[in-house]
Amino acid sequence: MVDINLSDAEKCYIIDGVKLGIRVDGRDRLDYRHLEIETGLVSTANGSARVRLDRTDVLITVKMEMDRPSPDQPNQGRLRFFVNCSANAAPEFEGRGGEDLATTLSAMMDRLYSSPYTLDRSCLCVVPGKHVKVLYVDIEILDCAGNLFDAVSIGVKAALWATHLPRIYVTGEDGGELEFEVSDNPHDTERINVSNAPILITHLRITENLTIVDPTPEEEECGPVQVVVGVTPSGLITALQQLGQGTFTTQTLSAAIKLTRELGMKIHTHLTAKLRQEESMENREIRGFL
Amino acid sequence: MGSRDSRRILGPEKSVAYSLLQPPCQRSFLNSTNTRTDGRSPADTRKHFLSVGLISEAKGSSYVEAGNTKVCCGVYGPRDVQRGSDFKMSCQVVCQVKMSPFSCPVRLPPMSGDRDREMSRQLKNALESVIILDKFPKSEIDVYITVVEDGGGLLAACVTAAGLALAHANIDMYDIVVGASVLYHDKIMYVDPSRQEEEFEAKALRDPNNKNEEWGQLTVGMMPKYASGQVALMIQSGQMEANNLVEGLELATDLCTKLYNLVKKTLLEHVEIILKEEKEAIEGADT
Repeated sequence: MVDINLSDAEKCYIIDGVKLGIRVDGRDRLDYRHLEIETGLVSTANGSARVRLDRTDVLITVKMEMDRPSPDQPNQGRLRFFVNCSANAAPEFEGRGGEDLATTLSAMMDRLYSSPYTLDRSCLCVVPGKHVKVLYVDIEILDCAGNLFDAVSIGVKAALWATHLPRIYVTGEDGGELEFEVSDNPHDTERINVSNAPILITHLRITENLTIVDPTPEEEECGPVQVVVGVTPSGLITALQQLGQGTFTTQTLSAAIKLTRELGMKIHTHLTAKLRQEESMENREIRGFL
Repeated sequence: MGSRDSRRILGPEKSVAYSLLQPPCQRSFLNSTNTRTDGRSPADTRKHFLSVGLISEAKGSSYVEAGNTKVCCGVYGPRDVQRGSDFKMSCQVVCQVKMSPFSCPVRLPPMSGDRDREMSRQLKNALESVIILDKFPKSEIDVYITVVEDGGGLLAACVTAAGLALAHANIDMYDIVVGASVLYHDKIMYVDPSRQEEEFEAKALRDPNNKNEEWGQLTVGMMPKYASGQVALMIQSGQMEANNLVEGLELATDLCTKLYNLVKKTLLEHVEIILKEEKEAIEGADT
């Protein structure tokens, strides 16, 4: 996001490299950069995760609150996404500068999770028609070095996986008002089923009919148009949106959609395995921002 | 409610549209003779009506009707950038989609909602890759769309309306952009869905007993004749297999090509009328 000024020769070098199947950092067209995930590092939230994809750095927290359900969905909880682009990540984000990116990103996350199969919201219901749980997912962009959408979506899945919601018991009724008791036992918690939670994969069109995944900021400078595709662990496409100035041919789009399916299923398997591994570690030391 | 408009009386704050209290009507998409509720087959499009030049003050304007969906679009500019905004060597596109309060069965609040803003952003994104921005340095083109009625496939209709109005305003473009929408339900692709079909899908989703795993809606905005077909806007929501999505994309492309011919015909007719009027005016002046 920070201003990168590439000369035509430098752009040419990157684009010609991709045509030959070699990227500047030695990756293949469908390779991701090094990814780090840590969950449970914010003690004040019900769930949290930090994702670092090379220098891209995002922190995602999940907090639960109670609310009334919407009248047309009396037994469904809600999931709401908020994005904050910190001015630390890029000076352009100062003030209202990051608002455009933030709304695009939160709208994309809303669309990604809009299908009820991706996340079962009926388990967030406490009293049908009266009280449901609302999960506020706050996304903090700490550093932005390309491929923000993928990093955020992986982080959201990890944060939801790590979320522990305290159990809420209805203890009685007083004059029509229900009384609740929140369990104070830290181990008496509910988890969220994220086995169908989707992730996003961004394809950048770098030159005619050629796309790459996980672009670096330099590569993003070479090709302004990208298509963001959401995919579930079972390989279903749950959201798709074209971003940036520029156009795709239908053939390129079709190829990108099919690649997403293969790649997405692989990433989901790795992600789940790593999250399980982290959870099974005893006395895990939280590294946080050290 | 995030921000309240204090200048208007909004009515009782806690009122709820009565249609939400009704149980969802369980109708299937196709009736016994394999036609949709409005008598079409799944591959049929709705009736379209296009016209240009209905707003006299605008540089270019258009009116698009697709089934019950009615939108009108006005294009102003290119003109100087408004004071306070950044100076740029390429053109800036300002898009505003406004849904009128009566455009849906449920009344919409007069202030622009999330859906308006999201559609405006998506449309702006698409138009920026359609207009030749370098032709209008330091200037701004405003595209305003008013939705009179949302009868389904709204974003697609907005794209078509914007493309037509831009052409009417003589703005340089790579090609005219047209929009199309496809709905996937129960293993069948429904081209150009109506509002009932879109809503049916949304209601069926909330039913926890619904085991239908695959569904989705796809909106495409494309330039059919530019470099053998370029997609400027593609948005999908729902949950569908990659192969089905690719099939939907092909169907939407076909529909775009059909609409493109209609747009071209509308513009040609408009030019013919103008030429005729001019000729008559000259003849009138001579005599």
